[in-house]
Amino acid sequence: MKAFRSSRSGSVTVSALEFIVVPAVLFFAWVYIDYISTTHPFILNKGRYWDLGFFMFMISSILFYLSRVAKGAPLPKLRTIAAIEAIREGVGRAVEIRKPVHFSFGSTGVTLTGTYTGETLAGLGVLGYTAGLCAELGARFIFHMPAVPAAIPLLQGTVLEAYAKEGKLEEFDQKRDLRYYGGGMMVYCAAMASSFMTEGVAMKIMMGSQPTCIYVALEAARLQGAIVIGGTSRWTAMYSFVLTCDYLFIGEEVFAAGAKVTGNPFMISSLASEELGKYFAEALLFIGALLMLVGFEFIKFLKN
Amino acid sequence: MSTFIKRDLPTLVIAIFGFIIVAEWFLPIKIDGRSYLTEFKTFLGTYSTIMYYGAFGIGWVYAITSEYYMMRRNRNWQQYVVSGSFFGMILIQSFVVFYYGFPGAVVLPEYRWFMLNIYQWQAQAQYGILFLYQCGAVYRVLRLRSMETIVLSICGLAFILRSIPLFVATIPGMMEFGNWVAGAPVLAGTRAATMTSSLGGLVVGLRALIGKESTVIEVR
Repeated sequence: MKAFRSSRSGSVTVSALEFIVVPAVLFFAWVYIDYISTTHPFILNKGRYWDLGFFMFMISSILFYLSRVAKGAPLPKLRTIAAIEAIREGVGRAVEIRKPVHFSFGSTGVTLTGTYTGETLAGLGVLGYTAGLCAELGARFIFHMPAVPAAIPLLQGTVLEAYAKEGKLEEFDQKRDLRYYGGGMMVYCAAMASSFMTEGVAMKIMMGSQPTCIYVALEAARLQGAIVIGGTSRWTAMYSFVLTCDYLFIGEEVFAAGAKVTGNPFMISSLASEELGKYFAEALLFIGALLMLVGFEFIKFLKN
Repeated sequence: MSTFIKRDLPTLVIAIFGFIIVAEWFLPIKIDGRSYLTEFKTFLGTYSTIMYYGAFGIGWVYAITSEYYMMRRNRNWQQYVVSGSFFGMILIQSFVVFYYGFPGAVVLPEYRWFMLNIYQWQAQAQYGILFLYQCGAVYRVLRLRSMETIVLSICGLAFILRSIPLFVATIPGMMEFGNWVAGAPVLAGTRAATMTSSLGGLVVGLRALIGKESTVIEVR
């Protein structure tokens, strides 16, 4: 229940009644959908009512927490993520040793469609935060844009907006520090490594889901004495971040980081709905394990 | 430009189209045997692809200007070789593409010679460096410096040795221990990470659909 504790008073912000009533209403809605999909299969695609139930559960819980923020309810407390603290430390170091901060998403780490779109959006929060800190403290910020041309306006806008918020838009030299290398992962890696060696690197941050180019980018930065920070929610790419980073965003921390650095109360509060999803999944695991022990084919039941 | 055009309208468009695509997954609405939601989703996908490839023009301009500014910044012979090759290849490719057309250009013997004899070998060299970096990184992580790294090293070693027949044959229980490492703690951790990441992705996606994702809302 830590996620529901108030950051202001320390008291539990979700009452027991709310905690029981909301899932109960959703559960009965779910049972009704189950009934409809069984008796009127033309209304709902067969075999997808569990998906719809979970989708409804998540969107209802998000709306529930958003409404609480709108009413001025206290925000859920997020624990401190070491990697976020390290970003400020790294920018300060960049100012002291007069070397730039480098940021990248990997050559194709920015996906605008599909499974990893959420990670891209969360990464934009960290990108804007880092660029804003560099603008505030006066460090040079170099952004190596991915080989995803469709994302350029989004990424460029995020960086420029961060500088504009600090009132230092004219201090960011786009022609010099916003770089695009075209397609090809190894071209991207070589260009970044070359940049580290010729211009120096005080801190290297890498977010994104591409495993292969992480080694070249992050190890080259480390060999130049940089603080290395990175992370991804993609499990198969996580190992290379673990091997190369000083500070790490592990899995879902990427999403929490995006909300935390923006400081937006709506984004922070909606993370509490993720906690509800976790409790739901844990309950399913527990009930499923018990039912499987007594011989009930719970997984088959869910699939059907 | 008004905030309606910059912020509210794009959010509204994303929300409407996003929920239509979500509805297509759940609702099998068919009129006269035609699934209009599926057709609309395909239609949206086609236009997304067109817009996506249209953005390559932006990337092309960025690549040219970036290379030009790099050449201006680093006035040494190495940079001139790299930039000269880049601009030279663009000229040659542009000529080939405009002369032969796109599908013909990529199957030309000259193009294939370049890809097979120059580009491919350079990429292989980069991959070679990558593996050197990988070894260095693994060594650094698996050094015994704390309780966590000791556990990590033992498990990592067990997993590596379990894959080598010599050690499996000579050390009793190596296969079983390696399999247990792969099948119990690693698998449980994988599933936990996958589930929590999926939930996080879902929350961020839904937040974007309802216009509360501040990272994609321009405020300037």
